[in-house]
Amino acid sequence: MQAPRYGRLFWVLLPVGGLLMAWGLVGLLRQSSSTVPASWLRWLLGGLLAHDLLLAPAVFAVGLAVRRLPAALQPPARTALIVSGTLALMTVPLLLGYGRATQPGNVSLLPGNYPANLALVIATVWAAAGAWSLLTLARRRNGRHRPG
Amino acid sequence: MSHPSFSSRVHHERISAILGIALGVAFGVCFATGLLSHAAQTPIPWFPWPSRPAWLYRVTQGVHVFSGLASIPLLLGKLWAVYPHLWRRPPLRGVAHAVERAALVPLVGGSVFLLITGITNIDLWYPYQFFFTTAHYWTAWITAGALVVHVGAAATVTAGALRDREATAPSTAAGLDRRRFLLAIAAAGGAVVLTTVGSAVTPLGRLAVLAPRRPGVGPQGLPVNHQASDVGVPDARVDPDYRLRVRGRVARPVELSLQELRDRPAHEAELPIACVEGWSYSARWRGISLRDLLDEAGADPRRGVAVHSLQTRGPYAGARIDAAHAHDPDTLLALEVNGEPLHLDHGFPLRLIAPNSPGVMQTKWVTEVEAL
Repeated sequence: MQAPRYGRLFWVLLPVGGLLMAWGLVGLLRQSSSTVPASWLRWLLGGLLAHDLLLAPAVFAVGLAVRRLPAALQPPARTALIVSGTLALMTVPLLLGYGRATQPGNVSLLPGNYPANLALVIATVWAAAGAWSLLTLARRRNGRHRPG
Repeated sequence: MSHPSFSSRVHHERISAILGIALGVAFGVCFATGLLSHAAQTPIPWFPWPSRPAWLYRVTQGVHVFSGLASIPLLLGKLWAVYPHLWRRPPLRGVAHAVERAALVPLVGGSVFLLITGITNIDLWYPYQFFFTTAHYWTAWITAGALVVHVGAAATVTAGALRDREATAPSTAAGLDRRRFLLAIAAAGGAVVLTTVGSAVTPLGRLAVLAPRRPGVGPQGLPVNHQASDVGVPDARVDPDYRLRVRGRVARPVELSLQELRDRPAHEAELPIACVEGWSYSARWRGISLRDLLDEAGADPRRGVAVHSLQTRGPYAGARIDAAHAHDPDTLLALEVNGEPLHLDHGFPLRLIAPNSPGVMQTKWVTEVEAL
């Protein structure tokens, strides 16, 4: 494995970035009554670990499962998984709907039927992926019959 | 045996370079618009937030929230592309490498933190103990600093990867080749924006099926961030003693009953409510001109005002309005919206509406204007 290359830029930007980080950290600690550093740190490291130890391995496992599909179906399936997975992750707080409980009676807050809406959007994504798969299969079949 | 997916074409320097640049641009835009929003809410003497153009904050804050949402697939794709590096042996190769890796904790942790808190905030879900605004703000500085360090560390590799001609060769194998992986990430970003942006771009409102707000949904067809009952507003509809008072540094204090407010000459303005949470809508407001009122009271036109509300709870029971906004001819103390008297949840009897101002500063249930 090639050793990392650190140019002059690294040593120039290091103190600049360090200063910005220090500015942010000092600001955070100075307003500790509202930033609650213990809770802040739990969420910062928790998010990092949740990605590295839960989400990434889960994606890896799904990726392995998709390898069992015929080759022609893999690009549409992987694309649809990326799009629908992103939408589902973004929508988690809406599906849980805790925001609605913060203000009972506020009809403008989380007004949608989010499980149904998400299902509809994801169904649309997979319908597009299905059309893409059929197109790929049809093209391969035609290619096979073509004299050459 | 090596992990098959770790040797896949997606875990490649070129992908990581392209996604890194896209993510850097998205985060840069997010950071800049976030600072603008901060400047609009917390007056900075050397960077006065203008009252014109009236739509500016609506655009900058919409860009902030929707570029943040579009960053979700960019960040996840980028982290996926570089994930094998996390487990590479040896973990540290020299001082510079150790510094680079240490800066990844605030970079990745901060990025994930900013997206999670941003999303939960627009969805009004607060599962953490810190106050969103200050924690999000300071974490943005920390993440920006870590990003600057990372750019310095990754510049050489990135430049090399972008020159890599071989990498553009198409792949014939199964799975996603590099180009298709980037297209899938772009499609995910597009889907995220398409299903949410209608909460700010009113003509696309019907597509906003995954947004926490929709145009047209709320009392009088307009969304409400905080209801009267939520912030302890006494029902002024039945209070005959309601008065608007203009006090503070004025030559002649003014006190007006609701009837006197209604009898004054009315001004009209088409102005947006632009929430810090990204959603916005435009409405036709009608009420009394704050500038005229301040002139009548003999307030200094070079100074701002503090506006106080009837609300007894919540951090936005008042707002400091700088001179540019307080004396803008379109800044109103509105009695009506779209031709109807304000609904209680929209601030009845009187709400502030100023051009190019964040929604949290458009104080509702106004009862006092204090010249500063």
